[in-house]
Amino acid sequence: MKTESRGDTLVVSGVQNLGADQAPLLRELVCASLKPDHKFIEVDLAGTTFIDSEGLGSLVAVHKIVAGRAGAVRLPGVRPAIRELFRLTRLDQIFEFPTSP
Amino acid sequence: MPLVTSTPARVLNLSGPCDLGAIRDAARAIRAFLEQSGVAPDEIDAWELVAVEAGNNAVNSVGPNGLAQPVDVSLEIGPTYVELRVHDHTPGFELPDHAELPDSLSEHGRGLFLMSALTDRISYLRSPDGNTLILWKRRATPQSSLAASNEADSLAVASLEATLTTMTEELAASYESLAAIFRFAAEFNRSELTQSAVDQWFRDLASIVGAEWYVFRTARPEAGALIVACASGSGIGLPPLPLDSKTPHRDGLEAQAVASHKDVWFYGIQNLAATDPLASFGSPLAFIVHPVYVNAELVGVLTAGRYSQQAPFSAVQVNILHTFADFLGIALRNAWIREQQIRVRLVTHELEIAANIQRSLLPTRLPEPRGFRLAGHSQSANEVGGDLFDVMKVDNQGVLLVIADVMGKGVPAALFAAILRNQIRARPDLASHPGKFMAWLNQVLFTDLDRVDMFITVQLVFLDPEARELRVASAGHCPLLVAYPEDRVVEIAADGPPLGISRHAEFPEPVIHLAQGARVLMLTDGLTELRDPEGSLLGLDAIKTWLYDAALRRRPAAEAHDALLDFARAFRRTALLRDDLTFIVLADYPEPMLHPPSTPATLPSHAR
Repeated sequence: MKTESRGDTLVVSGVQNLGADQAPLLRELVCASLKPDHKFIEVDLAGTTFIDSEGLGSLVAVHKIVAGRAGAVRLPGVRPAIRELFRLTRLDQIFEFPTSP
Repeated sequence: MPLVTSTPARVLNLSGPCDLGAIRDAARAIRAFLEQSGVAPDEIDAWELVAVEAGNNAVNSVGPNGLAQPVDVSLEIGPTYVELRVHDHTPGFELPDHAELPDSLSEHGRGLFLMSALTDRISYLRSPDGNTLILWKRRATPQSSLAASNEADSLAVASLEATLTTMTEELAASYESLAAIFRFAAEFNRSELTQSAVDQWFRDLASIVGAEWYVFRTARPEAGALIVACASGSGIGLPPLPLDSKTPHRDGLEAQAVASHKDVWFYGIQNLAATDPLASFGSPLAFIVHPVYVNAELVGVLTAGRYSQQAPFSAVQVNILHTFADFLGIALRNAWIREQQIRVRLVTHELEIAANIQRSLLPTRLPEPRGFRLAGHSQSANEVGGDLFDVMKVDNQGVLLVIADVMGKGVPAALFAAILRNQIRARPDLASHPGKFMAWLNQVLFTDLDRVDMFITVQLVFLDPEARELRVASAGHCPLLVAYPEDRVVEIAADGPPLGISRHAEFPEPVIHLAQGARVLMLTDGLTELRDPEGSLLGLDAIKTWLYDAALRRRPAAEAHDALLDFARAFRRTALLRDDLTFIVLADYPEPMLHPPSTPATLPSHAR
């Protein structure tokens, strides 16, 4: 898991799985890398094969960080099975799912 | 998480340390096992997530004592279903009927919702040896399409056969349980709920679910306990299980199931607590305890089990157990309601008979002492009451007037009223000395009254018509009222204690001279304590005013009797009669009616 700054967006990539054991890492990494001019956080889920409820919770935590800056969390590359998980938990209403990264 | 054992027929048993990494490993092993078994990919994704959520719960909710305990996971792939069991050592949680999603900005609390949404059935069995979360889902596509080779074809055929076998077994179990329910319902409709019908019912149940032993207790609130109604083997001799939480045996698992309103499971290597009544079945034991509630009311508790350490029953068998027990609960409840209705009808009928007997004990025709006439009335608040009045003619001497009120109402009071009447009637020789008579009655009745903590207030009045004298004795009764038309209303208290209070009580016997025109009223407190619909009391002063008016109008006894009843009814209007109401009126006779006053009399202030 690594981060990269692109203008007003903090990009997180290399997320292979976002289970209970990895979820705290995502929170910590974003908190450590976020700059004052970052309004958007992009978590690249193209290579992510598994997310559990703790993983979803960590994305909600990231969303709350940028929501106060009138920003948003974008989740490009989400696989259909995981996209279904966001729909099931109605979290597709608070995240953006761009069709291409 | 290392693979510990793997039994044939598509069952994967895993056991590993209590940490999140081991749970992820177990989920990967489950994924691989599902793939090997030909489960559809989207179902595999769902089961991997469900396994992780269930495992994470077992790890995240564990207390310090549970950390050293392993987490056991078992996955069973049937031709038509997949079932996952996760055994944890956490304090456990209450499984809600419906798992709700938390607020969208909440970072936690979606695990149970996901497990519930991704499976068809979820249950959580709590036991002293840990808890088991069971997740079950019917497979969307039974295994078949792996086949690409002859070997695969034969696998598919075997799988199809296994599917058919399982479905046949499930159908047979359903048919057997339905047939048993119909047999029981038919038996129940044909007659009362007999012991032999219930015994047969449980033998059928044990046979259908493969239970090796069982015990069914019914709640008996009147005994304050759950009593064994039907059991196999050593269950027959089990002691009653008290319903009161402060008494022994409450640490048993039956009591725990009753208190929690939830099933309790027991299996594994641990022994039952020695104080648990179910320990009499021996060891090893594996069983389920199912409390039976109908409309939130405890009807009984069913325990069924096997002599084994393994989990005793499958989900299908548990469903059958629940269906049987709940159906029996409704049948028992209905039988109890029918029994109550019959009992109420019987009691009502017996009370009607008792009321008839009590009415027959009242004097039908009152003596007519020279120069006087009498009228009396007695009315019970219930079918039978504790008030009594009687008039006994004493040869060539006079008349004894009796009025009494036994503490309380209903049958016990009526019984003592009847006993008192007979005791008085047995001793006419004592009638002319009511003080001594009262002391004798107290001696005779004291032991019986004292034993049941009851007492009777009595007033005995001996009328000597020649001397126009009243001799009065009172055992804690309302005062005797004497009204004179030109003078006042006198209260004669003549106080002694009620009968049954003091064994050696003495009773004074004041003598009253009756001037011409006097009206005498003996009454029970049911008259003074009459209430109107607004709840106001009639009171003694209102009665005194009425009596003064009756004296002023020179009302004869019968007319005064009717007028007093009208007066009481007019006051009470629609209010219920709360207490028995009894009175006796004594008036001069013959005495021509004088012109009644044009306005209702008011009691002179000196007469109040």
